[in-house]
Amino acid sequence: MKDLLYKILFFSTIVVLLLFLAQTVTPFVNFKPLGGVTEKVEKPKLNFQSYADGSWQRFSDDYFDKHLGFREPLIRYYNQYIWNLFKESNNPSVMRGKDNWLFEDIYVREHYESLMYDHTNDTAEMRRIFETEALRLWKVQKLLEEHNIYIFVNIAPGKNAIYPEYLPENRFYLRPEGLHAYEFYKKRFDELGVNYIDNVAVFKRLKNNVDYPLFPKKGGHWSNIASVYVFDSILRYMEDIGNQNLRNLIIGKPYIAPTRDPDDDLEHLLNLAFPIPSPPNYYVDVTVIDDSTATKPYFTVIGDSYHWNFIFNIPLLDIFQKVPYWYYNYIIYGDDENTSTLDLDLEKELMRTDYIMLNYSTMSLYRLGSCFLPRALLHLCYDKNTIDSVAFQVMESMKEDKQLYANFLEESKIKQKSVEQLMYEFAIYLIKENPEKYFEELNGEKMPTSRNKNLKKKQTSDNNQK
Amino acid sequence: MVFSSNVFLIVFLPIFLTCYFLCPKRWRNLVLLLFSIVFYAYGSPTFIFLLLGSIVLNYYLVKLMYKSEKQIYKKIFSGLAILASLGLLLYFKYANFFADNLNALLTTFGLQSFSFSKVLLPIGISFFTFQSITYVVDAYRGNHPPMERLSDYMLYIIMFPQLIAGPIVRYCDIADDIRQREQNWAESLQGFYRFVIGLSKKVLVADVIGKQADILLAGDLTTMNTGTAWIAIIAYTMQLYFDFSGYSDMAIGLGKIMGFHFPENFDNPYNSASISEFWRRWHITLGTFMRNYLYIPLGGNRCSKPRMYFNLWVVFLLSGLWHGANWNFVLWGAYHGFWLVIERIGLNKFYEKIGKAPSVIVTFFIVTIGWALFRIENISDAFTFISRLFIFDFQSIIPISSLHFCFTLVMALVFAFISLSPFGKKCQNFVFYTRFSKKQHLAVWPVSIFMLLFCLSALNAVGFSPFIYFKF
Repeated sequence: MKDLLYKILFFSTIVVLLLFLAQTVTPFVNFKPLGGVTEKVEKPKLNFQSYADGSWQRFSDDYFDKHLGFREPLIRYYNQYIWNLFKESNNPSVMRGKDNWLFEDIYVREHYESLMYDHTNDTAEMRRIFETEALRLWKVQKLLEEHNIYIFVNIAPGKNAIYPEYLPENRFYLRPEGLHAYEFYKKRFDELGVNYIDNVAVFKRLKNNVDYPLFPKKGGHWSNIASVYVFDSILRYMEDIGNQNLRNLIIGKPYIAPTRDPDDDLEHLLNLAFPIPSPPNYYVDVTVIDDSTATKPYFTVIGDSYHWNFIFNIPLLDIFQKVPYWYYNYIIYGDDENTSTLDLDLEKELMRTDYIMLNYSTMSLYRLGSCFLPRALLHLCYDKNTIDSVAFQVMESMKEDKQLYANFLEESKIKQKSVEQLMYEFAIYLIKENPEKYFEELNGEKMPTSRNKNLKKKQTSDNNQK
Repeated sequence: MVFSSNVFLIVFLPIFLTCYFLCPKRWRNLVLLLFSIVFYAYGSPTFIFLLLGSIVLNYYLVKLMYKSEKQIYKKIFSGLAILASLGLLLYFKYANFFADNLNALLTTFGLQSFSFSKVLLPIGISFFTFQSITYVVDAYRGNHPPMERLSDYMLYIIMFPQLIAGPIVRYCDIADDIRQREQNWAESLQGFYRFVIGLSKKVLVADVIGKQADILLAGDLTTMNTGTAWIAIIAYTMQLYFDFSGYSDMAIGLGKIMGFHFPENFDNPYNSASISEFWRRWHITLGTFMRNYLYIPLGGNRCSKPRMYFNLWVVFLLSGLWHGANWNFVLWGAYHGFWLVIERIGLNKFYEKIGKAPSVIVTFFIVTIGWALFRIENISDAFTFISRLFIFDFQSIIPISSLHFCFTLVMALVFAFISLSPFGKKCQNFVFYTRFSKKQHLAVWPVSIFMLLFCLSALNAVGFSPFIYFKF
């Protein structure tokens, strides 16, 4: 009996641990799911090979971690502890600014010039890349105009650029020589005559003259209201460069609503136990004037996540025929949903569209076009046969590299494709990534004289259904 | 499987404890052995058979040695047993190192290097090899008769609490516990408290500090300013201590739960007033092993002074190499050996003159610099880093924004030095070495449960950093 208390305490300890196991196996309490996106983990299959090489154990640990019972409150309360006691975020991609304003860490880094564009700290190399992209864009713009297609850049301001007073203290290494993509491109676009909208300047002017915040305190992107006004400006700009009449927006009166995505998207990532107090978010509703005289063009958007606000807040399909969104020129939303842009016939796609908007924030502007521009330039100048003939020359030089050839042989066994096919695909990839290397006339500041004869000049009325 | 993982804490540990305590006493060793095999086989599936094979071989060689009446046979069998254990360690831990260095040497002399497929390292080999050696030597010296049952010997080598990272338990210290031990529930509870202390040291201190230390030390060492370099190395100094001593606490605690009494492995090492004292307080079981099974057989200090200095150097060079098969570890061992010799030549007298507190500061300084050699594998990088500690560039910014890290580092420093004060010593003795009364248990148990949940919370929250959406 003298040990009874000790036994009770000791076995209670085991019971506490077993409760976690029980909740993992058969959850008996439900919790609010954690916010944010993480990679899904499949339950690993156990076999001798996976066990012997340790992969089953690794994936099992990972699977177990992600499905642990009581995981949600465990994470939320720890995050809350860090938030309250140390005034910081436990998610490294979200930074706590002054007065609890939230910022994505990359925007803060970009602001303090410590973001290493594309993980390189070579400023001269980045300057060369930016210059190449600016020239490509200018050429693509001119070439597309020959087909009555209009391309322009919409520069979205980063939250850091508009509300620097709320940024956390600078605790990053300063690069010896800063290079801001925004400042570089703005100057070059003006010099070259590239079509662009600079929302940074507009937002800075508006900031102290509007009653509603242009960026939500707890979100990473422009606010609902700001994005609506920006889109109204975009429509006017499109009318101007395309010389067309587009449908107009009716913007309703601002009203207060509970926070909604994406206006508090950064707060979701913090996964706190309790919400962060903040002023109410204002929203406007948008309708489109039914104007039978207006055209309904095909509008392709390539860019970063700032476009999501347009998708959420504007009835895009009332204005446009179609609005495919090529997210970082990688995955397509809105048309051919969730397919990769690599699967597209770019020639066909270019001729389908009337307007192309490169929509990038100041932070992601260093990825301008996300490889769309060299590919477009190539296809606007050369037809498939010409590109193929260069690809075959590239393949010949590949064959002389014994190591590279051995790698293709290895890969052909794995992918079950012929070596020739793999080499051809790789050659095409190299040409599309850097067409200037293979076609001399694409270099420099002169417009190329070659034209892809397969592209038929499109008439304005082809697409613009009224 | 590490102790600070969900799989261990939520699956392995409760299932093991339930099975272990529900079993009749005579089956408990078997349950512990089976779970230990599962524990090892989970993390190192291909090496479990190697480990079991070496255990069986060692067991029978020692048995033959013990039964032999002639001294020569005793020597042969014990020699074979030690050779078998050391052979495995040499092959698995050092083959890559020797092959790489030999190839580098061949290339230097313009000769053709030879091809060599890399050897994988079995988990815990450094620890179980040393335990095998203590078994052979203790049985040979007659300190304790060998185990009668193979399963008991297996348990001694493979027991999961100390299999991966020690403490290195000498055979003569634990043999009786394996054969027969009393189940004391109050002690089991204190074992649980000790486990939670170790887990907290690892998860709440070492991991928090280590994350920032890793970031800082991954930066450009050639341009690092002095403030950043010092913060980085002090953070690493604390991370290493709290990580390793935390793991030892968890092992000792788990042993205590089952009635085993593992030796202490750390005794406030950063409070040492000399490097000699540091080695009596840091990784104590390794120091004891090196003293009993290497330093003393080499002649120890019962020989001429030059020979003693040579012995010290050899022990510390090998001790460095034991920590890892790389030149930086050898250099680290030589560095400590150097200071031990210097202390014996005259530095100890200087310590006596300046008193305890300044000696502790000087020793901490020497140890901290040494950790740079331990942490940075490339020797040239290590010297670059050490030079940054003394360039006195305090102008540029220190890239640390985390208050959580700063607070944890300060707390770690406080706890690392707390036992220098009588009050701190008293607190430490109470937490670690006092037998609690029932009332004290009633107060400490809920705190331990809270800390366990808090550690679980930290363990799961720290690695969880979702994105708004997938990025490319």
